[in-house]
Amino acid sequence: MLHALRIGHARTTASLSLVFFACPVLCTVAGAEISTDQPGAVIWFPKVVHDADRDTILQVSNTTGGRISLLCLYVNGAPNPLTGEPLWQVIDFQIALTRQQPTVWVASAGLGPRPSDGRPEDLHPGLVPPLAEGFLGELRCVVIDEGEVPSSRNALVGEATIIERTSGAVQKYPAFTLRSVGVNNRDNVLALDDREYSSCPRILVLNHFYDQAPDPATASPVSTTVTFVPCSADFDRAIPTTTNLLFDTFNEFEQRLSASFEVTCFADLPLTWIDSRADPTRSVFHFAMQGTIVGQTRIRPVPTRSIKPGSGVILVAEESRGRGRTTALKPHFVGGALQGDVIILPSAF
Amino acid sequence: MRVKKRFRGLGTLGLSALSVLAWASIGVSQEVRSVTTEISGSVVVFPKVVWDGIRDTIIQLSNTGNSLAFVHCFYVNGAPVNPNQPPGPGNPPLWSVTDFQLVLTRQQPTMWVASAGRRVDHTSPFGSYGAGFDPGLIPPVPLGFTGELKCVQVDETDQPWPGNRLKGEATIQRRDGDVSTYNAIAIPANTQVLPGADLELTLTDANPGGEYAACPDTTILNHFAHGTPQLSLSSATSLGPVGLCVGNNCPVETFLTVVPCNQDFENGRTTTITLQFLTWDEFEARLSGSFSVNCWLTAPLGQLSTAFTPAALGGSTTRHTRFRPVPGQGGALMIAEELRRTSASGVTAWTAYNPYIQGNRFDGATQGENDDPLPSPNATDVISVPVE
Repeated sequence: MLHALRIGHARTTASLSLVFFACPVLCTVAGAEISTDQPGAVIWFPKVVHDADRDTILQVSNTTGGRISLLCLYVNGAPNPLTGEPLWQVIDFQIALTRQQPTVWVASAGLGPRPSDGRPEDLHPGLVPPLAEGFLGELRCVVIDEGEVPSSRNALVGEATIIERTSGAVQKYPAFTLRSVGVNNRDNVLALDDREYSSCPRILVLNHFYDQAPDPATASPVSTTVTFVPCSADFDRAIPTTTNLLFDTFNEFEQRLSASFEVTCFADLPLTWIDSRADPTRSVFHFAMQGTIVGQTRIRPVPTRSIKPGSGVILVAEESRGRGRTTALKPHFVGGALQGDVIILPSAF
Repeated sequence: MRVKKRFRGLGTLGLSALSVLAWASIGVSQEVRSVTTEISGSVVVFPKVVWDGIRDTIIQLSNTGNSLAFVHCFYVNGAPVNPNQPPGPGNPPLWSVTDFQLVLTRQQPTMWVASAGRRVDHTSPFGSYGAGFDPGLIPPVPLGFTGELKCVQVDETDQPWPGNRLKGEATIQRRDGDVSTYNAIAIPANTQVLPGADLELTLTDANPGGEYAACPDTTILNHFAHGTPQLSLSSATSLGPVGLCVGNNCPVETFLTVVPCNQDFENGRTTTITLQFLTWDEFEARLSGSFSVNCWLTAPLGQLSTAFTPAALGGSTTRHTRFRPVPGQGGALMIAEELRRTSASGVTAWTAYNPYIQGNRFDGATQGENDDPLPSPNATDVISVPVE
């Protein structure tokens, strides 16, 4: 009985503690609305590659019982060989998917203007341009209606599979989706503010091996590459977005170190380049610095404190363990962005 | 003694605090009320953990909060009773449960290899396996283990606790270095309800007073038809080599792993469910079928049904499949793994991925745009954990 009372007392005390002291934590439990779990009205593949070694297979499905049309935009963020800055070249195309229809294409090959497998023309999604070698960037697709204006149908799911031709290594990640919520005003400005479309995450949380940490099963050194894409983009005026990111990384000793990094348009880089490109062993993400095998890194886009569009980003990571063995990592999210992001689609002219 | 306690009687003090909580929540966003692979939760499920001598699993588990997190974990061995025979009705899963407890400090990540576990050894050298604050004794799984790991956030008295601070990843690794990673499935809890030992998965947007997020109504999987040849990576516009697939005859296979949402660790009762599926190809053709899951299942799609083979639907390469439990039965959580073979002997590659979900079982909600029948609403899944 005494034991039960003690437990009861402990529970009551814990309840009060929960309410008063855990609020800062519990409040952050609220979720960013961008998703990799649920179908959306915008689908987003942050990393699409076609180079001498790698190619990407893209799978997109319509999860609804009606026909939909998509406006898709490839953005090439590969570094300009002259300046080193991302190219930010945009190629857009339109496809259509019938009820519940899946489709697939290889980035290097695309889809031809007519079906090559004997299917009726109306079951062919349409022309998908093949990507030239050297493409490293993103793909966004928006559900549109017959008038080519954005639609509120949360119809899309998809996956990207990046394959290394020479080693056969393969990594697959689910596409991010933005759900249409509330009222969609059907203009070419997609507001990612939880009123028209779901918002980008306020904080991204990535669990990863510290760079060059030995794999505990094979002892191979592990390295991580991260790909960041700002949520905001002005495809109409071709203005890329710049975002500042703050990083807090915690090792298994509860020790915290931080770093910062600026992303313009698109960034694909080793984790250690974020803070120490010249000497990766001095990076806060290096195993020699941290001394534990894994870490948890929280990434926070810095709000711009202005009327400009928000500073949200999305992220996928790639973990490599030597001999060309790679796997994709999907981050976790905490909360929705405090400042709404905006995607401005190209206007017809 | 299973008592569900709510925050009643906390008086003005408690209400004020809850108001602060609500206010702060509005400032950020609404609480997540669905099963997720991208938000931390109070229960995390790793549907597939393997140690068979060839493939091993690295588990990563983190506390995303700024105070201690107590965790009660359960390994569930779903290997068949007779490991030398294929699983089936005459060779059911072992369903043997091993549990252990962990403590994670603020924002602490931890990791272990399933075959090795993790000892409490404060002398682990800097940079070695085990360096860092030891979260607790983690037992190694036996050779031949294929099953799931489920971790429940608890308080210091081992009672389930709706802290929503746990997240995790599993990396299944082959001896030759091949790796595939998936995110653990998190089940967020209602932070304003203290659960008992029976964790009711009833929290939805329409039922904000529920305990833990309801299991999904429909799981959506994009996959290749089972055994279909890999798409050619070489084309007129591709300057790269053909690679390891000579003759374009490299099959792609998809393996599905299913864990029932209902689990009774308290009484050691297994759960059997039946899943229906609808699969569409690129030609808008559709097939349906069903299969049963007893306790835990991992199997190639082609073994679950011939409907997943290319020949069943006119040879289309890619598929879009929707899985749903039959009305009246428990829900399911799933992950998928894709196995790609090459022309080179022994060179294969696995990749794991999390499917999408739609609706939830408690509301019986679907999007209303699909031609599959509506399930029965108010379906409640329960995870019963042993509490002293």
